[in-house]
Amino acid sequence: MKRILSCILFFCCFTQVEAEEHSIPLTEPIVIESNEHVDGDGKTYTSCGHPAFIMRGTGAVLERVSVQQCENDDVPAIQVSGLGHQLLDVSIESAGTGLLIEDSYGVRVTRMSIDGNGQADGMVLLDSEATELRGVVVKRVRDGIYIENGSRHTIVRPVVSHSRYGIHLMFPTDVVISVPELHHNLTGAMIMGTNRVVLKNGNVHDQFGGTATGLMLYEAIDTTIEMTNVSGNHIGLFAEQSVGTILERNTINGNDIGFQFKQATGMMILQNNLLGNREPVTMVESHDNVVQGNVWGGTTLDLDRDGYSEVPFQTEPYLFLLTDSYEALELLYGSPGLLLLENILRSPNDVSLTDLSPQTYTARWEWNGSIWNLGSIILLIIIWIFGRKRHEIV
Amino acid sequence: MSLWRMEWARSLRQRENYVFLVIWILTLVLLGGLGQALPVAADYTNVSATLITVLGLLLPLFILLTTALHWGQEQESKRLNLLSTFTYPKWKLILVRFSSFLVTQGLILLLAFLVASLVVGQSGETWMILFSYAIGLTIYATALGTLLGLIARKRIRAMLLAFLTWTILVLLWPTLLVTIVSWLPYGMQVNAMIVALFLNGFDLMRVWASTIVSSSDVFGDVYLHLLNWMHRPIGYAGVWLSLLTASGFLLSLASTVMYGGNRHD
Repeated sequence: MKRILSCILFFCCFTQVEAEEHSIPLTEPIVIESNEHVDGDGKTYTSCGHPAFIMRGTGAVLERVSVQQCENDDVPAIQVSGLGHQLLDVSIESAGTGLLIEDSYGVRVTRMSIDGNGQADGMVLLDSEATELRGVVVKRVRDGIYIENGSRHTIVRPVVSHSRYGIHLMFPTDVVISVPELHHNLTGAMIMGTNRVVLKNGNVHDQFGGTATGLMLYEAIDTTIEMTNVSGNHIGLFAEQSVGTILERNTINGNDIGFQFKQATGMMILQNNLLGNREPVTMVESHDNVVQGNVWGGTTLDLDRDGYSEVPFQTEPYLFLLTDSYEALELLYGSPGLLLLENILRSPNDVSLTDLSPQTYTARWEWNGSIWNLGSIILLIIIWIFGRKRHEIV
Repeated sequence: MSLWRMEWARSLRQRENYVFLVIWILTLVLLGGLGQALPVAADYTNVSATLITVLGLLLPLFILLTTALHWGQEQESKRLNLLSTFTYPKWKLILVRFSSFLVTQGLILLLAFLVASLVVGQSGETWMILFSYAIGLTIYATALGTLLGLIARKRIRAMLLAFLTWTILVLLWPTLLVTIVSWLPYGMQVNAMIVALFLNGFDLMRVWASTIVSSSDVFGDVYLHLLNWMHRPIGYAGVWLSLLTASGFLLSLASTVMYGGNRHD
């Protein structure tokens, strides 16, 4: 009986291993036409020199497949065009672009993972409308999610890491990005030439490189960034030539520079927490903005105890101009002399960024002592006491 | 050794040590408390950066003034002439005083850091880096203050000279660099800044500590190479060797100034 059971177990394991190890090589793309449903049942397909899947027409579904591309492939692993397609539980090991969606409407991508080699983009959306990306995980690619033109895209819970730009938007309108997790990229999200982009409840942290930036806005109109945690980057949020940006209730902590604005006007900067950045904000030509109730980490004085300081927070264009004109002078950031210069050089109000009622904040102390600590302190005091005793040369 | 012991005891009895201790404890506790109020646990924050800035502002001033005044007073009261009756070279006297003062300040700083760590929850590594930074500043400021005190010969001159030096090397340093660097061609600016960095021990320590406590990209892309080097053990050694060499040079100059550098005969 035991032998029979052992044999059954052996064969079960054997067949399972076979299924996992073997991938199916494709000599040509699998084309999924309108209303066709392909359930890969966890199979892995290998493609070289051509896409593994092409979805076109209307309402095609692709689910539970893995795709492996050959090295140095420069074609997309999956190519999608048309209306209302769905991709569910697809994973891609890509050399070229992982997923290309173009000229499409209402494509839904759920739980897709893409692992690249840093040479091409992860997901590319070109001239498409109303795409919905949910729970996509992209790493080691050029741009994690690249969107060019199009409108009304929704991106929910994307995780992009170890790439150039986590999310790269070029000229789309009405994009909503919810709960993004963008880390260890050169830039978390690059938002350029867009209109009405909303990024909320995100976590954008620990980008790397000399220009590591959490969120970058360039010529973006009416962008809203709210309740997002941006930490551990060189620059938390950079906005240039952007109009109508709303920055509300974000926590921007532990960056070298929290906010950096260049020719950014018509902004509303409300109730953000900027404690813990080396410089909370540097700016130039960004004075025409509504700034209220932020925590900047500067001097505060709350006389009427309403939680808001009667001493306004004001930042000068000096710091930005210094490094914008002479990059080499960034080495001076944080030097005591520069602190003095910042306080001596007072620019007129119309070129400064001023928060008339910054929020106050309080320090917190907690007992962190240990026996080792106390013992060391006592030992040092004893050394001090005994060391003080007169000791003359005789 | 008995001379060193005598000098150390004298150094420990100075009343200003209590002032230093209180100032360092207050600075570390107040700024550290702000760091703990952060809503997220960032590994490096502006608390350590602010501590670096505040220590870099106050510590050189206090140490420069103390050492310059001390040596100025020794000169003015002719006590150095009395000490010249001892049968050992003058450089040894300077070295003994330098080292005993340094050990005293090290003890005070260590005590302040330990007391602050009771209520401020920075990581052990951050405390170590900040302590090393404070010690580095003390070494350089003590050597510089010794030279200034011996050059000045009078207490009032020593004090003024120390204050002037602090103003130039700490307060006006960025202004000077901005003025000079902006004249240079673009290609030379970064190199000029690096040379200037190694000329000013206070600034070198600030950049080193800022880099170690945060990351290599803390001062932007153009210094990534230099700061990556500073992050490595060879960089640590290079920075500290440079600081110690500069301090040694200042002390040897002080020895030359003292009685014209002649040994006792």
